[in-house]
Amino acid sequence: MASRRTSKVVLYTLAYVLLIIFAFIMLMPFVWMLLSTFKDQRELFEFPPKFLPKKFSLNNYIEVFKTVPFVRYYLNSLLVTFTSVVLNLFSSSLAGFAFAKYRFRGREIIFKVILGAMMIPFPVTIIPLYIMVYDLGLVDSYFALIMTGSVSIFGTFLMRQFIVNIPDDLLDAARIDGSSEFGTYVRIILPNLRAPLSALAVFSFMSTWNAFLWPLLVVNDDSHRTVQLGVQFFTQRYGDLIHLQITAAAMAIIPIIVLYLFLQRQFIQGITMTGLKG
Amino acid sequence: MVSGKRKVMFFTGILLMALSLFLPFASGKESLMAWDFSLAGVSLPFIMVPLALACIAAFTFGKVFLTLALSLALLLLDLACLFSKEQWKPALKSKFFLDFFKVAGAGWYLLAAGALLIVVAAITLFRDRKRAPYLFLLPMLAGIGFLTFFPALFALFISFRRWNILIANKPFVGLANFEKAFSDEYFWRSIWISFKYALGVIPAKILIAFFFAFLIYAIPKFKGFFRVVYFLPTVTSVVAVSVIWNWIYNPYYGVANYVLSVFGAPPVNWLGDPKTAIWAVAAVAVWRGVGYDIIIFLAGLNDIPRTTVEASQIDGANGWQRLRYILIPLMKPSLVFVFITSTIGAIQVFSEIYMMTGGNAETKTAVYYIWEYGFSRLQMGYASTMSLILFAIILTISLIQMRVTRLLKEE
Repeated sequence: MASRRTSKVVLYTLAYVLLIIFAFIMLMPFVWMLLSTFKDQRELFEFPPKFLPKKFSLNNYIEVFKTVPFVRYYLNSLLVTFTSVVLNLFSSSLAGFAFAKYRFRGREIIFKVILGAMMIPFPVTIIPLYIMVYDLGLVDSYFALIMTGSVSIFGTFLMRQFIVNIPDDLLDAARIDGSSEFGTYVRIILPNLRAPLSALAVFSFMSTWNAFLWPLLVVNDDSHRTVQLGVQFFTQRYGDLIHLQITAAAMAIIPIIVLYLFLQRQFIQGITMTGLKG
Repeated sequence: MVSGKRKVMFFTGILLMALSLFLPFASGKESLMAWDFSLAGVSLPFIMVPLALACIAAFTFGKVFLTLALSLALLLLDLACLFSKEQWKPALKSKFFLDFFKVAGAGWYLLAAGALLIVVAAITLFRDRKRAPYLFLLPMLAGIGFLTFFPALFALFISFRRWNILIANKPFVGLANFEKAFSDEYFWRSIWISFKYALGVIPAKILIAFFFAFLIYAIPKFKGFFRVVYFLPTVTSVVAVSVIWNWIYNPYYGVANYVLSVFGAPPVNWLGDPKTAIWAVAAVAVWRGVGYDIIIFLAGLNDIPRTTVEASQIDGANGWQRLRYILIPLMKPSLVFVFITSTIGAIQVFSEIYMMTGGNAETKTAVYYIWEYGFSRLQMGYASTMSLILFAIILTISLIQMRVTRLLKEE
């Protein structure tokens, strides 16, 4: 019995040691990045590299704000992400409601066709989509940036899964009280979807904020650049200013990391929910 | 029947639309009024007014569906002004409809607002359970239609043509693009590189994720802490993460080579050497993606009833047997999910390559190659063809994976 307990202690210690080493690997690049943002160019090019900066100077951040309109990039990203997420939540929950709570002709077919559309990967649609956007004159517009994140098949399925579990009696009660079908959606469905809606919000927030390939294609001017494009633009334009590149990259991820640390439960719940239901 | 609030909303909408007839629709060099626009030769007010009257009639007689249809028609009519390019040209010489917004006048906006109001009023009236679901599906279907269905068909159409976005002539070339793709050795090499990358990323990611998910599952304390830390790289963007790793991999000043030098190993040109570059990128992808898999696996492990695990303990199963015969089989759904989605994702790798190697040093993956053809060389017909072939390959692999994993399940 005693030996069993000691072996258990040894195993746990080993597990914790491994977990801590791995946590170190996962975190180190971020720590390294953050420390590098305080170093000036000369300090950065020292070999062997020093871990801590000589002094914590915010010069690099000021430099980045001076060189490119980073505030504008933040605002663009915020606008695009916020609008996409709201549209996505609205269209997904409404369509999920239709699939979950109504019987109508063509339901199965529409459902299957949409399921099929989910299989089509983005590289297939990206060229025709670009041609469409180009011909409509929507290159360099918020519309082009927002549209790709504004609907999601996967979100629709997720919503459907949860709406199915809302009892029909609740809906009927609302209808008897004189609520219209849309009113039922607003009054009964939406308040009961808080958890999956926040999961989908987190998920689509992450993918829109971090989106790169599509924005890279449809945006050429500074006034529509998102944060990610700003970082890419910076690395392309100022290839030799590595200290500023790293600072720009840090500025792109600090907001989302802060948000993540505040809302970590929602993030992780969101991933679990979306992962397993999808 | 119709409540006062909705009546107010509806008639405000009608009033706004009536007002719009007397205000300019577009004003630039010249001012355009409603009757300067026409649809199929009929001046706009002559269509609008009867529609609006019919809409009022439908509303008062409680014909909800008709009201909705007519109000949507009015809204579309207003939007149609955007597309009658010839007619708003006098106000602004430009061919893109977005430019219309620059000259659009109060009349146009009022008409839009009025039409939108009565659409909303009509929707809130909707009690028809037969037709409601179609209405509810509309936003999503319209979006998917525009973003997926139409482009997918369009891709097929383009792939039979020589298509350059800047050249008006887009001749039909039959199967020439497909023939070219099948004999293009660089394309097949790019697919091979994508495969190599996927074969590096997927097993490493799944094994590491499973191992650490299991450790987190087994330990009694600080589970939440490790979960949060491991997931951190996943919430960050590929672009920003690539900048850091480019610096870490820097052949002269990077930390990676510094660590090697501590062990006395010679420096490596991580992202520049064709032998290491793709693996260096793959390592970053594993680092960034492993947290996601850990979360999924942990959810799978936590779904296994404790009683099942305890029962096996009582039956005298040791740790390894428990893992092999209880935990792994019960986690099958999450394993299959991660396996299939990671494969689809890894074969389509683009951003990492774009940001870290720019397709140099034997890292030109399939999507990168397609992207280069479509958007640098502007051979969009050929690029579409290749994307369709890639799609066929991915679909085949997914189907095989589903088949195989289901076979294992039945055993």
